Amino acid sequence: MTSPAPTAAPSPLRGRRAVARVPRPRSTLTRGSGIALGASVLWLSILVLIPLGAVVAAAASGGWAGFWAVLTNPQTVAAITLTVTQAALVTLLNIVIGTAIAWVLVRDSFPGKRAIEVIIDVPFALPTIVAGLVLLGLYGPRSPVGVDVANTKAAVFLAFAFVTLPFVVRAVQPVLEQARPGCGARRAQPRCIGHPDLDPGAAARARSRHRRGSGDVLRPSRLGVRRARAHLRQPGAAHRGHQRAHPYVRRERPGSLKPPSWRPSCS
Amino acid sequence: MVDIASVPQATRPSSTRRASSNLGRPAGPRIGRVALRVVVIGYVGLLVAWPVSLVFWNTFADGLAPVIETFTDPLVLASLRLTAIAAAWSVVLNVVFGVTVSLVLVRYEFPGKRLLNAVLDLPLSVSPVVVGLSIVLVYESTRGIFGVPLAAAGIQVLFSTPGIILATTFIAMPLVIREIVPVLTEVGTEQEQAARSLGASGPQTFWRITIPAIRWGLTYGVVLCLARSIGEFGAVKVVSGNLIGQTQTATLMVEQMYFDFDQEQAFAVAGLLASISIIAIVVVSVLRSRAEKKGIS
Repeated sequence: MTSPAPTAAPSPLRGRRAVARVPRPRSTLTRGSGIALGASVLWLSILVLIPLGAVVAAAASGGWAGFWAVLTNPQTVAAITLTVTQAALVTLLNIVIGTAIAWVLVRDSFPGKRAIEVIIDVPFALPTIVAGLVLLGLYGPRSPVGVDVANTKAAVFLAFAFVTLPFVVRAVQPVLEQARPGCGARRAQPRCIGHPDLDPGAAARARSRHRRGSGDVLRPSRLGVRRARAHLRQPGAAHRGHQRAHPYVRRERPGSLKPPSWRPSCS
Repeated sequence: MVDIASVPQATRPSSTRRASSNLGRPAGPRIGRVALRVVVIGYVGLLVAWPVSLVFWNTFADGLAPVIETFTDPLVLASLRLTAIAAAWSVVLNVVFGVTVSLVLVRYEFPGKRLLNAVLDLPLSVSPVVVGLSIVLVYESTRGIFGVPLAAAGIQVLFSTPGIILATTFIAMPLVIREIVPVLTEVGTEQEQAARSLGASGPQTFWRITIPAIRWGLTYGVVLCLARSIGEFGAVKVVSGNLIGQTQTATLMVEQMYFDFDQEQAFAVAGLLASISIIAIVVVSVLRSRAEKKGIS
């Protein structure tokens, strides 16, 4: 597959005038797009920025002492400890199992693989409250297999593992697709996980696991995810990688496409 | 897909793909591979597939009668209607905002572009309960910055439908943008410039060139946004006040029914919500594979 060199990618972003002028103009806004930008920023402020600012202001209004008093309240400490511990444990589990799932989905082929692909996405789309009921169905008081972890730390762990599953798999998949055999790594070997080219994905994935885990309250909630950055775009694989990437796995920032730090030697 | 075409040995037909990948390593890797496959299927099955199927099983465990009873209950219907209204508004607002922002982000340079790009991701990194809290702080009718003037004008935002719509829209905001931006980047501006040079007006270019070019990206965005909006729980719980029959969305209804020991009803509504999200995933996956085949997205 051939694709344009990555350095050529940002050029269409700049519009016509940029070509005539010096390298990087400060602004290429026209009157219409300026109004559109202004309206968007206004809407963004009303909806997101001012409310979030209000939360920060409210948190700071009690002063440092008030903030510290809340944070050191035994109940808060217990809650934070539970969240962080379980999120860390789930991250460890996901590093292993998430990579294994992604590896199987990318390198293996067997009947029903497509179904697994779809099932992986279910926790992402499932309403959080339904996800809670779903888990209680098998691991709660009505469990058909007699496992009841409801209202325990194990349930928290289970819920975190459930909601984070798609994120870890979708973050690793594109990396595995690009770390192709013939490029130095023997193919079909899980130990290429240690390969430097896999590290960005692994790191991003682990971060996203942690953030998402920490964002959970009460029940598995679907937010708290910083999208794992896919700076995984390689020449020749850029096109496919883009289509592979999933909506909750962050893609490149528009306008700041970086040339890849690594090129497959075989291409 | 693994592109094994780049590997020299793999010049055989695709049916021998797996065999060829074991060249030089007779039996070992195959056993490992099968074991890994079993582990993966087991994990996904125990964590996701089995529990999700149990929801449907529980829904119909006592026959159809409780299900019919649930979905004719006026309170349940009211909550479903409210969820539909909130989701519809959220999709409309996010599509309009998302298309505008994506176009500006991709097609123009301006100071603060990176900042804007980073801020657009905030709703995904902030916990939904915090989102709900933030909306309460600002739109509270006694102290909030926007709440006080709106209350003076006789508009109640919190504990009513507008608040729920705001919370839902906030939560689902980045989904549409993240779908459109890569597509817009990829299609470039050539066709638009051609259209303009052939005499098309701005709106004509937008409707006839830009929108058709991004339609699949937009479709994914809408489906995801819809699924997310229907399922929103945390933020809506804080904002809505949970007034039964008035500001109770379907997800809040499920929670209340579950804790009130109306488990059959809870599972019935949960089953409905779960099927909506599974349909959404299947639609996205079909669209995506279709786009992959066509080589466009």
